[in-house]
Amino acid sequence: MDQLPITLSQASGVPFYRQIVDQTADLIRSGQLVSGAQLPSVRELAGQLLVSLITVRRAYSDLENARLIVLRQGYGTYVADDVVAASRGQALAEARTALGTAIARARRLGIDVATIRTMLEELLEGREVDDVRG
Amino acid sequence: MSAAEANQVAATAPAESPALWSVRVLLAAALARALRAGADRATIRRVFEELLLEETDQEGDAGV
Repeated sequence: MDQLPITLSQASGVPFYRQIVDQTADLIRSGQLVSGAQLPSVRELAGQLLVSLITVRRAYSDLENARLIVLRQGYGTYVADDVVAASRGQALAEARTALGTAIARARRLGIDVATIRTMLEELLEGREVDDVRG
Repeated sequence: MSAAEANQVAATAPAESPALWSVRVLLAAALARALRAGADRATIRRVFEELLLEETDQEGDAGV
């Protein structure tokens, strides 16, 4: 099995298992990993990314729960059939949850609605961080 | 915004309050995820407004 083109970033603050889930899902959605393609074993991927076996197991477990991959005992881990619809639905649901988390946190911190809305627009328009500081 | 751009936002040192910055990072990650999933900007704005309404409703119910 070839190595997966996954790069982990500590600076992002996103847990490693989550980065593995997101990037693997991206590879599947973009067609770089097609249905039936075999993924590296847990041990192989942990070795490639220099993370623990537990981290990769958790990522694979999440991907399996999202029906993006299937674990075939004794054979390996494969991209599931009909992954496009499953991955899109899963990703949209996760995005909604993540947006809700951001809004709830903002409100708990006392940030007003107008400021949150402005922040969203700035990010959606892809303005540089330096632009919004001024 | 791409996932790489979201990471860039997260990795850049904040020049605003830590509270605002933490929210910006969460929002950036959520937007990157939504865009990767194929959601367009209009859909994201609609979902955002729905969630904002739900949140303010809950605050109202809680007497905030």
